[in-house]
Amino acid sequence: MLARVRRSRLAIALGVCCVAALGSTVDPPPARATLGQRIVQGRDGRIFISIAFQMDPHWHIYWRNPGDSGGAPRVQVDLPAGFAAGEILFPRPRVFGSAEDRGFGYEGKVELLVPVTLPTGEAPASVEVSAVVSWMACKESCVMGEAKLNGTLTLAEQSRVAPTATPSLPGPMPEGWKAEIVHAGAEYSLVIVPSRDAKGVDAMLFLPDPMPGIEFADGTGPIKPANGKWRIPFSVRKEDATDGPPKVRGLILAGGNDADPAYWIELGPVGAAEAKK
Amino acid sequence: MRLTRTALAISLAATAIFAAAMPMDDDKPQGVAKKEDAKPRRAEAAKVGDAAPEFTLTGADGKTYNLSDYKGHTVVLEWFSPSCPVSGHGDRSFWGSGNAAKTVAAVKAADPDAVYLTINSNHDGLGGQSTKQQGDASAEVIAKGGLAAGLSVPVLMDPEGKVGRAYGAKTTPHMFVINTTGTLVYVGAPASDDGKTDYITSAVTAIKAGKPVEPANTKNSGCGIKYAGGSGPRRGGGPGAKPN
Repeated sequence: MLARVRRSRLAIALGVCCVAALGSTVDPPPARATLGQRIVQGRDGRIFISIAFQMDPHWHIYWRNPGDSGGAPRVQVDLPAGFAAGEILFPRPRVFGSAEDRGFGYEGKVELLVPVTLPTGEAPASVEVSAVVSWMACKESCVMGEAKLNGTLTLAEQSRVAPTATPSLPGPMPEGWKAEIVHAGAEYSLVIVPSRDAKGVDAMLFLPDPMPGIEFADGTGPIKPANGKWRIPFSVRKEDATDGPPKVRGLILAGGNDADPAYWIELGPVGAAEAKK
Repeated sequence: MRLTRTALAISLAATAIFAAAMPMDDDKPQGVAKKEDAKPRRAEAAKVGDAAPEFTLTGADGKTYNLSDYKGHTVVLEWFSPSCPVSGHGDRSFWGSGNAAKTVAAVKAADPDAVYLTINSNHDGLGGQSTKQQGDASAEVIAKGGLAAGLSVPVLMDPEGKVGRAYGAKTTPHMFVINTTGTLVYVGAPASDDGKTDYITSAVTAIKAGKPVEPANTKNSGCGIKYAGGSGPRRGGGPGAKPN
């Protein structure tokens, strides 16, 4: 019989973990996924399932926007009734590749986090969880990988799990930063104004999240700021916006190191109330 | 125990853009002050609404293919690689899964006069394979791709990459649809991430009905095309890179 415990008092640990590889086009696969050893708890109180990837040297997997080529990992999670999983949260990606084939992703190892919502009221003491994870890994060539990951979540009255050690999980723009959409006719721009004391803006980059109807100009390298305002031009094609009014979404990378901060922004819908240039 | 299935399909649809911030001065755009990685190829590539770039290519079958031969027909171009696990390699690829054959059949059902061509723009010698060998491998994959009886899809070889660059083809697969007047009307992925929307057949159907193609641009994903003298291999790459 399952013990019943109050959700508010739970700390959650993943008791048993096993991995069943479903396949890869290369054996042994150059990138491997495992379910984390425990459910981690973020600083904001949210809890996450962790999917950890380990890549062979020079192989990489991709961010949610892979860039010019590649493909983002996919995760399908099975959870008991009452539990819910959200969209994968990706850590800050690296930028790699050539000017003609720019990629955003991860080398070495990376931990992707899937937020989990517990059922209201009481929850069972332990639950089974499984996740089918598929990914594309590339070096000079690319291979597909897939694994079914299984584990037992133990929901026990224990001390809270330490905040995740996953570095550089993007957050909102800090106080003092500003981002807005401006336009002159059909010419649109995303304008970012970092705070005066912001660090890392010399190497600031914006990685757009793909949004139907929005197309950012082809890539250029980092450009030093003039007076603290940054402009990233983009075009709007409302006829391509099949999911409703187009929005601008993406990641600001401040600084050039993995441990530097990254900020997630979402603006729009475009065409509503942008400032004129 | 009843399980609640939560699908977390994170979109493969992603803009293929690396946008760098450009400074503003007193709210007046300064234009591109400096480009660390200027990419003229992209600037020159055809866009939706442009005239489709003309080409003459030799097929793996030895025949010559001119785009102009298909004037008055809707033309579907699919960039292809026999060694890419998204395009032609393995049973989960576009061709290995049978999805390409289904697309071809749907296109021909929507418009029997439509033409479907594949193009391989990987450079000669990739993975130690000559253009001829790559062409043979491409034709073999497509022959085994489950095409319905009576249908065939030629493979056009573009080892210099001129045609691929003219169209701005980045990945395999990467799809382009040209209407009956020779205008590029669709660029992007074969289908939506969830597989529910076949963008190519939708485009061909719209052309046939005289309607605009919407969406006309979608995000494609797949293996990067290895252009001759162009897009260098990614980090860790170098001479002797494997085909993709």
